Amino acid sequence: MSGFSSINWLIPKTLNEAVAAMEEHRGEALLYAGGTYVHEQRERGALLKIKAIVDLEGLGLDTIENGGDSIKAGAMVTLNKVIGSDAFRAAGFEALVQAAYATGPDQIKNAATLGGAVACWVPVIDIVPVLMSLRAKAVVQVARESRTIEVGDLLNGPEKTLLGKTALISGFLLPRPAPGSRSQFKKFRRSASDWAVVNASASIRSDGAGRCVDAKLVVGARADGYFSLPRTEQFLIGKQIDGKALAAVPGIVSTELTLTDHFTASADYKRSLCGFLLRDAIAGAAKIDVSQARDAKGVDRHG
Amino acid sequence: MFRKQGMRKGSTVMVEISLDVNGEEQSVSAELSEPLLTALRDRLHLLGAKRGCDHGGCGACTVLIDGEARYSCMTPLAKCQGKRIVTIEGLAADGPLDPLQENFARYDAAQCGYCTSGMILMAKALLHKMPHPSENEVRWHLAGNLCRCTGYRKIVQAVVETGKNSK
Repeated sequence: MSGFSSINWLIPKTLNEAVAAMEEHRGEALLYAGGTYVHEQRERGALLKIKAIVDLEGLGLDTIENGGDSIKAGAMVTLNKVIGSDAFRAAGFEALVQAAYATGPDQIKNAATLGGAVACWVPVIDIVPVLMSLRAKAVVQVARESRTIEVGDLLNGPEKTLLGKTALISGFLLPRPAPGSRSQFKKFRRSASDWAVVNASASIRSDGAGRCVDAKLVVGARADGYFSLPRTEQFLIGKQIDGKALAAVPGIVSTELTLTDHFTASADYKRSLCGFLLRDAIAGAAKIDVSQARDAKGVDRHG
Repeated sequence: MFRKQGMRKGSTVMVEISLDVNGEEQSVSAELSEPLLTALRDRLHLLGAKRGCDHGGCGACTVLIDGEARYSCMTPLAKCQGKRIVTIEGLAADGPLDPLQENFARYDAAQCGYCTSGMILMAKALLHKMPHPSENEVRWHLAGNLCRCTGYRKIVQAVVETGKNSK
């Protein structure tokens, strides 16, 4: 494989062995999960310093376990395994399955993993905003200790996480959604197997009267990253989610985002798309026909 | 820890790798990071899987690994050991054509043919998990395989018809 100088391929059998391998080759080792993004990094010469690959396949991190309060998904769970998982068919996790389904073609979904999606921090991967909106925590192995960290707190800019060079994500804890919770994911892309230009994930909980009692909203924008939207969340909480509330969402979202121009879309266009995609995701989660928002607003150029 | 280290040849580390390709055990001497596509084409001389974009975008290199469609251009040999690899050469072997192959011929679902082996193997994986896909489902699942000649209509038709005729 061109792009590497010379490689030792290491296949640890335990997490401690994997961390030890990372420590031994500090800064010159690459954790290898599904490998779908490694290929791109290699092609543009970003891996020339790498001397060892630490292959995570032998660690048994590819299971989805139903716990009491949460579901534990291993870092090596592939996106197609997420789609086929009974555990994630439960109400509240809809967005995760939708995002996995929307991520590239089958050949990619058969290889790409949950852990890899977070660890490579590419803006904009579909799984990441969903994990954030579901308040997922990453289980991180640091030295001989295991810690849990909010997924959003791990991210530190393109291809950078706060994991450090000798830590690895072993899995994710996804809190079981409370009754009345639903989530939806939306994506705007230029072609069927393309990366998103922007994406949006809404996780909301409504009371029996249809009033929003909890919301976690996250958008992703190509080249910019992932953004929680606390102002929009506060706007929704306590409100009846109807056409009027939905119609106000794009405007509030646009006040929360500062984005940059990208060849796929200008900053203004991305900001606008984020607002309308999030509105549609909220409508889907609330089981509201989004045309109600259009009626409330009058003309909707983007809907 | 299992360390795969072998003979250093120049700046590369070569190891003996055993692969199950089309039901036969094959041995190649290569780097573990070498793409499966390179080993198939350049070492085992199985030319059915095609080199197109070489970065997981066109699907011409699609093979089946343990029954799942994968891009062989971005699958290192290290990930192939102990797994069953099927290329287009293994689909019919010396027996009758696979129904997908028959329908690709019947519906003229190929022009230059460069994408055909990847298309057929992707369709094979699809029909295994979804025996009777609709046209839209076929289009969605074949989205990772590009064809620059046919306009897709005949390819989709061939896959849908194969599904309709399967038990």
